[in-house]
Amino acid sequence: MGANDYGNLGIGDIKGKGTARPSYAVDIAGAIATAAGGSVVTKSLHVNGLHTGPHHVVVSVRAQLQDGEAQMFTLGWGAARHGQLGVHSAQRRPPLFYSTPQIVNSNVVRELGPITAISLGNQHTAFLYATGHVSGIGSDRKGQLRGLETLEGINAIGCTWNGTYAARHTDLNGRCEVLATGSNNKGQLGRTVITADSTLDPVQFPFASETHRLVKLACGSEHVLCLFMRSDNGAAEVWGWGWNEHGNLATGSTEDVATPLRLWPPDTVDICASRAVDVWAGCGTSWIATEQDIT
Amino acid sequence: MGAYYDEVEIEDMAWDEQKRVYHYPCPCGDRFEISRKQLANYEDIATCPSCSLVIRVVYDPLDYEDEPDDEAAASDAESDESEGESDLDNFEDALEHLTISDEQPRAVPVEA
Repeated sequence: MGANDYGNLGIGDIKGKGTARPSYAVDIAGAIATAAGGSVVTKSLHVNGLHTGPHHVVVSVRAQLQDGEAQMFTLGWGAARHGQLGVHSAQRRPPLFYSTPQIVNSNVVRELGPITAISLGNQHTAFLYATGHVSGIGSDRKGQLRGLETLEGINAIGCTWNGTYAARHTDLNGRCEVLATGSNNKGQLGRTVITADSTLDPVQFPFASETHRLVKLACGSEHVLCLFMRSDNGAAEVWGWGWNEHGNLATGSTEDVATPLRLWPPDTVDICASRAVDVWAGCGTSWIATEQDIT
Repeated sequence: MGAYYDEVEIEDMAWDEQKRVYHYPCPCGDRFEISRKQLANYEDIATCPSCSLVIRVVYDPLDYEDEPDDEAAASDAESDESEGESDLDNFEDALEHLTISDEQPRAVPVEA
Protein backbone atom coordinates (compact mmCIF):
# COMPACT_ATOMS: atom_id res chain seq x y z
CA MET A 1 0.00 0.00 0.00
CA GLY A 2 1.23 3.48 -0.70
CA ALA A 3 3.65 5.23 -3.01
CA ASN A 4 5.65 3.42 -5.64
CA ASP A 5 8.11 6.12 -6.69
CA TYR A 6 11.12 3.91 -5.96
CA GLY A 7 9.47 0.61 -6.61
CA ASN A 8 8.78 0.43 -2.89
CA LEU A 9 5.59 -1.56 -3.40
CA GLY A 10 7.70 -4.42 -4.68
CA ILE A 11 5.19 -5.44 -7.32
CA GLY A 12 6.77 -3.97 -10.43
CA ASP A 13 5.66 -0.96 -12.40
CA ILE A 14 1.99 -0.14 -12.00
CA LYS A 15 1.87 3.05 -14.05
CA GLY A 16 -0.76 2.86 -16.73
CA LYS A 17 -1.96 -0.57 -15.67
CA GLY A 18 -5.49 0.28 -14.65
CA THR A 19 -6.58 1.98 -11.47
CA ALA A 20 -4.49 1.69 -8.36
CA ARG A 21 -5.66 -0.92 -5.92
CA PRO A 22 -5.83 -0.27 -2.20
CA SER A 23 -3.30 -3.01 -1.51
CA TYR A 24 -1.02 -5.40 -3.36
CA ALA A 25 0.64 -8.71 -2.51
CA VAL A 26 4.38 -8.87 -2.98
CA ASP A 27 5.55 -12.07 -4.63
CA ILE A 28 8.32 -13.29 -2.35
CA ALA A 29 8.02 -16.96 -3.33
CA GLY A 30 8.47 -16.10 -6.98
CA ALA A 31 11.58 -14.10 -6.26
CA ILE A 32 13.11 -16.97 -4.31
CA ALA A 33 12.26 -19.44 -7.05
CA THR A 34 14.01 -17.23 -9.58
CA ALA A 35 17.04 -16.86 -7.37
CA ALA A 36 17.25 -20.56 -6.56
CA GLY A 37 17.46 -21.63 -10.17
CA GLY A 38 14.04 -21.23 -11.68
CA SER A 39 12.10 -24.40 -11.25
CA VAL A 40 12.18 -24.69 -7.50
CA VAL A 41 8.85 -24.09 -5.80
CA THR A 42 8.74 -23.31 -2.13
CA LYS A 43 6.69 -25.49 0.15
CA SER A 44 6.36 -23.02 2.94
CA LEU A 45 7.44 -19.48 3.48
CA HIS A 46 7.96 -17.90 6.86
CA VAL A 47 8.65 -14.21 7.12
CA ASN A 48 11.07 -13.66 9.99
CA GLY A 49 11.22 -9.92 9.73
CA LEU A 50 10.13 -7.01 7.60
CA HIS A 51 12.31 -3.92 7.82
CA THR A 52 11.66 -0.61 6.18
CA GLY A 53 13.56 2.55 5.42
CA PRO A 54 12.46 5.76 3.74
CA HIS A 55 12.94 4.31 0.24
CA HIS A 56 13.67 0.63 0.47
CA VAL A 57 12.51 -2.52 2.18
CA VAL A 58 14.31 -5.68 3.30
CA VAL A 59 12.67 -8.91 4.37
CA SER A 60 14.20 -11.92 6.02
CA VAL A 61 12.43 -15.16 5.16
CA ARG A 62 12.83 -18.83 5.86
CA ALA A 63 11.70 -20.86 2.90
CA GLN A 64 11.11 -24.58 2.75
CA LEU A 65 12.22 -25.57 -0.71
CA GLN A 66 10.84 -28.47 -2.66
CA ASP A 67 13.93 -30.60 -2.09
CA GLY A 68 13.30 -30.47 1.64
CA GLU A 69 15.91 -27.99 2.86
CA ALA A 70 14.88 -24.91 4.77
CA GLN A 71 17.00 -21.91 3.93
CA MET A 72 17.21 -18.33 5.02
CA PHE A 73 16.91 -15.66 2.36
CA THR A 74 17.34 -11.93 2.60
CA LEU A 75 15.41 -10.06 -0.07
CA GLY A 76 14.85 -6.43 -0.75
CA TRP A 77 13.21 -3.97 -3.09
CA GLY A 78 12.98 -0.22 -3.53
CA ALA A 79 15.77 2.32 -3.98
CA ALA A 80 19.00 0.57 -4.89
CA ARG A 81 21.18 3.15 -6.59
CA HIS A 82 23.63 3.44 -3.72
CA GLY A 83 24.08 -0.28 -3.29
CA GLN A 84 21.77 -0.50 -0.29
CA LEU A 85 20.25 -3.69 -1.68
CA GLY A 86 23.51 -5.17 -2.88
CA VAL A 87 24.67 -5.51 -6.44
CA HIS A 88 23.99 -8.36 -8.82
CA SER A 89 27.06 -9.79 -10.47
CA ALA A 90 25.70 -9.14 -13.95
CA GLN A 91 25.71 -5.41 -13.35
CA ARG A 92 28.59 -3.22 -12.43
CA ARG A 93 26.32 -0.64 -10.88
CA PRO A 94 22.93 -1.17 -9.28
CA PRO A 95 19.87 0.32 -10.96
CA LEU A 96 17.93 3.28 -9.63
CA PHE A 97 15.60 0.91 -7.85
CA TYR A 98 14.31 -2.63 -7.85
CA SER A 99 10.57 -2.77 -8.21
CA THR A 100 10.27 -6.47 -7.37
CA PRO A 101 12.03 -8.44 -4.63
CA GLN A 102 15.64 -9.40 -5.28
CA ILE A 103 18.07 -11.34 -3.15
CA VAL A 104 20.30 -8.86 -1.33
CA ASN A 105 23.50 -9.77 -3.04
CA SER A 106 26.64 -8.73 -1.27
CA ASN A 107 29.81 -10.61 -0.35
CA VAL A 108 29.65 -9.31 3.16
CA VAL A 109 26.07 -10.36 3.72
CA ARG A 110 26.67 -13.84 2.39
CA GLU A 111 29.71 -14.74 4.43
CA LEU A 112 28.82 -13.77 7.96
CA GLY A 113 26.16 -16.34 8.74
CA PRO A 114 22.62 -16.02 10.13
CA ILE A 115 21.24 -12.52 10.39
CA THR A 116 19.46 -11.57 13.62
CA ALA A 117 18.59 -7.94 12.96
CA ILE A 118 18.31 -5.59 9.99
CA SER A 119 18.06 -1.84 10.09
CA LEU A 120 17.60 0.63 7.25
CA GLY A 121 18.72 4.20 6.78
CA ASN A 122 18.02 6.53 3.91
CA GLN A 123 20.60 5.03 1.55
CA HIS A 124 22.16 2.20 3.53
CA THR A 125 21.29 -1.08 5.21
CA ALA A 126 22.90 -2.54 8.33
CA PHE A 127 22.88 -6.20 9.37
CA LEU A 128 23.50 -7.78 12.75
CA TYR A 129 24.57 -11.41 12.82
CA ALA A 130 24.15 -14.14 15.39
CA THR A 131 27.92 -14.00 15.85
CA GLY A 132 27.68 -10.43 17.12
CA HIS A 133 29.24 -8.98 14.00
CA VAL A 134 27.79 -6.14 11.99
CA SER A 135 27.99 -5.23 8.34
CA GLY A 136 26.62 -2.40 6.27
CA ILE A 137 25.99 -1.87 2.57
CA GLY A 138 24.96 1.14 0.57
CA SER A 139 26.03 4.74 0.68
CA ASP A 140 28.97 5.70 2.87
CA ARG A 141 28.74 9.35 1.94
CA LYS A 142 28.30 10.42 5.55
CA GLY A 143 30.50 7.73 7.01
CA GLN A 144 27.47 5.72 8.03
CA LEU A 145 29.23 2.43 7.21
CA ARG A 146 32.60 3.31 8.66
CA GLY A 147 34.19 0.76 10.93
CA LEU A 148 31.14 -1.50 11.15
CA GLU A 149 33.12 -4.53 10.05
CA THR A 150 35.45 -4.17 13.05
CA LEU A 151 32.68 -4.60 15.62
CA GLU A 152 32.28 -7.68 17.79
CA GLY A 153 29.87 -8.75 20.48
CA ILE A 154 27.08 -6.43 19.35
CA ASN A 155 23.58 -7.05 20.71
CA ALA A 156 21.47 -4.52 18.87
CA ILE A 157 21.69 -2.17 15.92
CA GLY A 158 19.71 0.79 14.68
CA CYS A 159 19.88 3.28 11.87
CA THR A 160 18.97 6.90 11.59
CA TRP A 161 18.66 8.22 8.07
CA ASN A 162 22.38 8.89 7.77
CA GLY A 163 23.91 7.06 10.69
CA THR A 164 24.41 3.60 12.15
CA TYR A 165 24.32 2.67 15.82
CA ALA A 166 25.50 -0.52 17.51
CA ALA A 167 24.86 -1.39 21.13
CA ARG A 168 26.92 -3.80 23.18
CA HIS A 169 27.06 -5.15 26.66
CA THR A 170 30.80 -5.15 27.04
CA ASP A 171 31.30 -7.39 30.03
CA LEU A 172 29.65 -9.47 32.73
CA ASN A 173 29.02 -6.39 34.83
CA GLY A 174 26.53 -5.29 32.21
CA ARG A 175 28.54 -2.26 31.22
CA CYS A 176 27.04 -1.15 27.98
CA GLU A 177 28.20 0.96 25.11
CA VAL A 178 26.48 2.49 22.12
CA LEU A 179 28.77 3.12 19.17
CA ALA A 180 27.78 5.56 16.50
CA THR A 181 29.00 6.54 13.07
CA GLY A 182 27.58 8.72 10.34
CA SER A 183 26.29 12.24 9.98
CA ASN A 184 26.80 14.59 12.90
CA ASN A 185 25.38 17.85 11.58
CA LYS A 186 22.66 17.79 14.25
CA GLY A 187 24.58 16.06 17.01
CA GLN A 188 23.36 12.62 16.02
CA LEU A 189 26.61 10.95 17.09
CA GLY A 190 26.02 11.87 20.70
CA ARG A 191 29.54 12.97 21.42
CA THR A 192 31.75 16.02 21.15
CA VAL A 193 33.59 15.26 17.95
CA ILE A 194 37.23 16.17 17.87
CA THR A 195 38.15 15.30 14.29
CA ALA A 196 36.30 16.35 11.18
CA ASP A 197 36.11 12.78 9.91
CA SER A 198 33.38 10.63 11.25
CA THR A 199 34.61 7.52 13.03
CA LEU A 200 32.87 4.72 14.86
CA ASP A 201 33.08 5.82 18.49
CA PRO A 202 31.00 5.51 21.66
CA VAL A 203 28.17 7.84 22.47
CA GLN A 204 29.16 9.87 25.54
CA PHE A 205 26.61 9.18 28.22
CA PRO A 206 27.14 11.31 31.32
CA PHE A 207 26.79 8.41 33.74
CA ALA A 208 28.87 5.42 34.73
CA SER A 209 27.66 2.62 32.53
CA GLU A 210 27.86 0.04 35.33
CA THR A 211 24.65 1.39 36.80
CA HIS A 212 22.69 1.57 33.57
CA ARG A 213 21.63 -1.41 31.53
CA LEU A 214 20.50 -0.72 27.97
CA VAL A 215 17.06 -2.16 27.35
CA LYS A 216 16.23 -0.66 23.96
CA LEU A 217 17.83 1.48 21.28
CA ALA A 218 15.33 3.46 19.17
CA CYS A 219 16.50 5.44 16.16
CA GLY A 220 14.39 8.16 14.62
CA SER A 221 15.09 9.96 11.37
CA GLU A 222 17.83 12.13 12.88
CA HIS A 223 17.67 11.52 16.62
CA VAL A 224 18.17 8.54 18.91
CA LEU A 225 16.55 7.37 22.14
CA CYS A 226 17.80 4.81 24.63
CA LEU A 227 15.80 3.12 27.36
CA PHE A 228 17.90 2.14 30.36
CA MET A 229 17.19 0.16 33.52
CA ARG A 230 19.20 1.31 36.50
CA SER A 231 20.65 -1.30 38.77
CA ASP A 232 21.29 1.10 41.65
CA ASN A 233 17.75 2.37 42.23
CA GLY A 234 15.63 0.24 39.89
CA ALA A 235 14.47 3.24 37.87
CA ALA A 236 13.82 3.19 34.14
CA GLU A 237 15.29 6.11 32.25
CA VAL A 238 15.04 7.40 28.69
CA TRP A 239 18.00 9.29 27.30
CA GLY A 240 18.18 10.92 23.88
CA TRP A 241 20.26 13.08 21.59
CA GLY A 242 20.40 14.49 18.04
CA TRP A 243 18.08 16.68 16.03
CA ASN A 244 15.58 18.55 18.14
CA GLU A 245 13.94 21.09 15.84
CA HIS A 246 10.49 19.77 16.63
CA GLY A 247 11.03 19.59 20.36
CA ASN A 248 11.25 15.83 20.15
CA LEU A 249 13.95 15.59 22.83
CA ALA A 250 11.79 17.12 25.54
CA THR A 251 14.29 19.81 26.44
CA GLY A 252 11.72 22.61 26.36
CA SER A 253 13.58 24.18 23.44
CA THR A 254 14.35 23.33 19.83
CA GLU A 255 18.12 23.39 20.15
CA ASP A 256 19.82 20.24 18.86
CA VAL A 257 21.30 18.01 21.54
CA ALA A 258 24.90 16.97 20.96
CA THR A 259 25.41 14.69 23.98
CA PRO A 260 22.69 12.64 25.63
CA LEU A 261 20.13 14.27 27.88
CA ARG A 262 17.54 12.52 29.99
CA LEU A 263 14.01 12.75 28.64
CA TRP A 264 12.28 10.64 31.27
CA PRO A 265 11.81 10.83 34.20
CA PRO A 266 11.57 14.59 33.94
CA ASP A 267 14.41 16.66 35.35
CA THR A 268 12.93 17.31 38.73
CA VAL A 269 12.66 13.73 39.94
CA ASP A 270 14.84 10.66 39.82
CA ILE A 271 12.19 8.03 40.27
CA CYS A 272 8.71 8.52 39.05
CA ALA A 273 5.39 6.77 39.46
CA SER A 274 5.07 6.51 35.68
CA ARG A 275 7.74 4.08 34.74
CA ALA A 276 9.07 4.03 31.19
CA VAL A 277 8.66 0.63 29.64
CA ASP A 278 9.22 1.21 25.94
CA VAL A 279 10.44 3.86 23.49
CA TRP A 280 10.06 4.59 19.80
CA ALA A 281 11.47 7.35 17.65
CA GLY A 282 9.99 8.63 14.38
CA CYS A 283 10.44 11.63 12.10
CA GLY A 284 11.03 14.43 14.58
CA THR A 285 8.85 12.59 17.11
CA SER A 286 9.57 10.55 20.23
CA TRP A 287 7.30 8.15 22.05
CA ILE A 288 7.63 6.77 25.55
CA ALA A 289 5.25 4.16 26.93
CA THR A 290 4.89 4.26 30.68
CA GLU A 291 3.18 2.12 33.26
CA GLN A 292 1.89 3.35 36.52
CA ASP A 293 2.29 1.30 39.68
CA ILE A 294 -1.11 0.53 41.11
CA THR A 295 -0.04 0.62 44.75
CA MET B 1 20.71 30.63 6.15
CA GLY B 2 23.06 28.05 7.55
CA ALA B 3 24.42 24.83 6.15
CA TYR B 4 22.41 22.43 4.02
CA TYR B 5 20.96 19.41 5.77
CA ASP B 6 22.16 17.36 2.81
CA GLU B 7 23.01 17.45 -0.87
CA VAL B 8 20.76 15.19 -2.88
CA GLU B 9 21.19 14.11 -6.48
CA ILE B 10 18.19 14.68 -8.72
CA GLU B 11 18.14 10.96 -9.54
CA ASP B 12 17.33 10.22 -5.89
CA MET B 13 14.32 12.53 -5.94
CA ALA B 14 10.85 11.52 -7.04
CA TRP B 15 8.56 13.47 -9.36
CA ASP B 16 5.06 14.41 -8.22
CA GLU B 17 2.88 14.71 -11.29
CA GLN B 18 0.06 16.57 -9.57
CA LYS B 19 2.08 19.19 -7.78
CA ARG B 20 4.71 19.18 -10.53
CA VAL B 21 7.64 19.16 -8.16
CA TYR B 22 10.58 16.91 -7.46
CA HIS B 23 10.50 15.78 -3.87
CA TYR B 24 12.61 14.03 -1.28
CA PRO B 25 11.67 13.10 2.29
CA CYS B 26 12.57 15.44 5.09
CA PRO B 27 13.48 13.94 8.49
CA CYS B 28 10.51 15.78 10.02
CA GLY B 29 8.09 13.68 7.98
CA ASP B 30 7.21 16.28 5.36
CA ARG B 31 9.21 16.56 2.15
CA PHE B 32 11.63 18.87 0.38
CA GLU B 33 10.13 20.15 -2.86
CA ILE B 34 11.54 21.94 -5.89
CA SER B 35 9.92 22.73 -9.22
CA ARG B 36 11.44 22.35 -12.68
CA LYS B 37 11.15 26.08 -13.13
CA GLN B 38 13.33 26.65 -10.11
CA LEU B 39 15.88 24.19 -11.47
CA ALA B 40 15.83 25.96 -14.84
CA ASN B 41 16.55 29.24 -13.07
CA TYR B 42 19.63 27.71 -11.49
CA GLU B 43 17.95 27.66 -8.11
CA ASP B 44 19.09 24.49 -6.45
CA ILE B 45 17.72 24.79 -2.92
CA ALA B 46 14.75 22.61 -2.05
CA THR B 47 12.87 23.66 1.05
CA CYS B 48 10.63 21.83 3.49
CA PRO B 49 7.34 23.54 4.35
CA SER B 50 7.35 22.17 7.90
CA CYS B 51 10.81 22.91 9.21
CA SER B 52 13.96 24.93 8.69
CA LEU B 53 15.95 22.25 6.87
CA VAL B 54 16.98 22.73 3.26
CA ILE B 55 18.82 20.57 0.77
CA ARG B 56 20.89 21.38 -2.26
CA VAL B 57 19.87 19.51 -5.37
CA VAL B 58 22.72 18.15 -7.46
CA TYR B 59 21.75 18.14 -11.12
CA ASP B 60 22.85 19.21 -14.58
CA PRO B 61 21.21 22.59 -15.32
CA LEU B 62 21.40 21.91 -19.05
CA ASP B 63 18.75 19.23 -18.66
CA TYR B 64 16.24 21.77 -17.45
CA GLU B 65 16.94 24.79 -19.63
CA ASP B 66 13.87 24.66 -21.80
CA GLU B 67 10.99 24.72 -19.31
CA PRO B 68 8.42 26.46 -18.16
CA ASP B 69 5.43 24.76 -19.74
CA ASP B 70 6.21 21.13 -20.47
CA GLU B 71 3.37 20.46 -22.97
CA ALA B 72 3.84 23.59 -25.03
CA ALA B 73 7.58 23.04 -25.12
CA ALA B 74 7.19 19.46 -26.34
CA SER B 75 4.86 20.25 -29.24
CA ASP B 76 6.98 23.25 -30.26
CA ALA B 77 10.05 21.07 -30.32
CA GLU B 78 8.42 18.57 -32.68
CA SER B 79 7.26 21.12 -35.26
CA ASP B 80 10.61 22.88 -35.06
CA GLU B 81 12.41 19.68 -35.97
CA SER B 82 10.48 18.95 -39.19
CA GLU B 83 10.79 22.52 -40.43
CA GLY B 84 14.48 22.54 -39.66
CA GLU B 85 15.27 19.51 -41.77
CA SER B 86 13.48 20.67 -44.90
CA ASP B 87 15.12 24.05 -44.55
CA LEU B 88 18.53 22.40 -44.55
CA ASP B 89 17.88 20.62 -47.87
CA ASN B 90 16.70 23.77 -49.55
CA PHE B 91 19.58 25.75 -48.13
CA GLU B 92 22.08 23.50 -49.90
CA ASP B 93 20.21 23.87 -53.17
CA ALA B 94 20.15 27.65 -52.81
CA LEU B 95 23.93 27.78 -52.33
CA GLU B 96 24.56 25.70 -55.47
CA HIS B 97 22.27 27.77 -57.64
CA LEU B 98 23.20 31.11 -56.22
CA THR B 99 19.95 32.61 -57.36
CA ILE B 100 17.20 34.24 -55.49
CA SER B 101 13.97 32.71 -56.46
CA ASP B 102 10.42 32.73 -55.28
CA GLU B 103 10.43 29.01 -54.97
CA GLN B 104 8.61 27.92 -51.87
CA PRO B 105 10.47 25.43 -49.72
CA ARG B 106 9.09 22.01 -50.29
CA ALA B 107 8.46 19.84 -47.30
CA VAL B 108 10.60 16.75 -47.81
CA PRO B 109 9.44 13.62 -46.01
CA VAL B 110 12.27 12.39 -43.93
CA GLU B 111 12.55 8.88 -42.58
CA ALA B 112 12.86 8.79 -38.82
